[in-house]
Amino acid sequence: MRPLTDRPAGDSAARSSTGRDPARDPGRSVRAAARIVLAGIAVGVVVSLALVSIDTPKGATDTAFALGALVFGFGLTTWAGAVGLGETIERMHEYADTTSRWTEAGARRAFATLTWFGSGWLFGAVGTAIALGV
Amino acid sequence: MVSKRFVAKRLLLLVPVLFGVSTLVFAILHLSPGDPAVAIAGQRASQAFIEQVRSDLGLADPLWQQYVRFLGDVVTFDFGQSYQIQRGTPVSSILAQRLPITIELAVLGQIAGLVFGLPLGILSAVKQDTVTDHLTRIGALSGISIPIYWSGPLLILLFAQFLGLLPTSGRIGSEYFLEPITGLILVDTLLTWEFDAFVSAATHLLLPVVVLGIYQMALISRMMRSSMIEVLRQDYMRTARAKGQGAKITVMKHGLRNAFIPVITIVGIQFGTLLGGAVLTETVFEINGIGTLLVDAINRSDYPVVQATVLVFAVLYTLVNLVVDLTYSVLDPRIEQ
Repeated sequence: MRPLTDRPAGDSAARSSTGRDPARDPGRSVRAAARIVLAGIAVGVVVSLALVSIDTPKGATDTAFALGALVFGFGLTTWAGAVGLGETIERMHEYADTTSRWTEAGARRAFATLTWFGSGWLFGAVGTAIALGV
Repeated sequence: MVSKRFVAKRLLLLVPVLFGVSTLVFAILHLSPGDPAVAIAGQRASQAFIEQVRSDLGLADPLWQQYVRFLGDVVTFDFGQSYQIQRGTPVSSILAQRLPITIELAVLGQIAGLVFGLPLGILSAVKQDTVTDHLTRIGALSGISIPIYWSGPLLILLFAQFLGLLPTSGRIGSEYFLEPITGLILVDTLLTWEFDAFVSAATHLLLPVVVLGIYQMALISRMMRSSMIEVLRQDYMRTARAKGQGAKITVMKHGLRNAFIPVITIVGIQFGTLLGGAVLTETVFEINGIGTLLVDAINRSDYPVVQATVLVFAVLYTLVNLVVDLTYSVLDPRIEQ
């Protein structure tokens, strides 16, 4: 999956033919987010239907929804953590002189992706529950 | 001064943090084994009764509907009523009762860690590579390595069982009854001018605070040592000494403030560990704080209490880290937030 935002502005390889930084292009970010949400929806539906074979429709969609909530909640919490504490952690790495390639921007991108994916999963599970008449 | 924009941004971050944490807790609770309806109705209850309880609690609805309802309640700070711990009591009242107990313990543990950790770290840095330094470092390493669930019972055995100097559990002697004012037992005993009760509370809290403080002390002293060693090598320290300023004054006036910044960072980040430590400490010393409440609520599938308690932990952690960030600019005005 492609990162959503926050590509370093100076990254010339990341620039499009129009000369604009694609990462700064809101349309591109929205499209990337939409693709990830769609993938999440697909996973939500597939997991719900797979679980129907071993559980009641309510049990299956509830479990699928809870799994999606787990992904979404983890993504959102860690994204907020990266935004809030990222610079502090980066400073700590610098201060402790530890060889870590962890960056605040990278963590934000990764967890934003996870959050969008989890939200899609939630919608997929809810849609399946409604379709199954739960 | 810290910009208002920075503070507003950090306060706004509370929204996704709380949204994420509440979602995470909701999901984990519903994926974990245990049925609150069975817990309330009892193992021998009929299936019809269990279903009735489930329906009454709203647990028979599809999970997404329960989630939407839960989020609505969280937004209005209505955590509902306890299923099991104090059945029917609003969760907010239970938290209001228990929260000061844990806050008192955590703050005292932090103070103990700072009071002992800072001087030890400074001493270790100033006397680098001497016997004092080696002993301090061994002590710090031991403090970090010893888990609370081991050091707690060990201290109880030594000071309560063998030496009989300190009480084993609780917050105050059973002969004292205090109407809570702030909920902080040491403060309440002072406010009511009950000196004997204050001494009793202090002796009861001593061991739990030491157990919590050991880990903090060890971490703070290690951080302070490395930070201070770096500061001592700076040009401005040499200049201050060259101008004839005494060694102690140079360290305390110029060194401490600059060396304190990484330590403050550790204090903030470790506050979560302190809260986690409070859960274990309260369990070991039978203190009825928010930690034991959480353990009890998880064991008894009391969903509203678990959800509210974890949210309170998240809010506390975020707020403490906000305060830490604000402290940077006070310690070093060059740091632009």
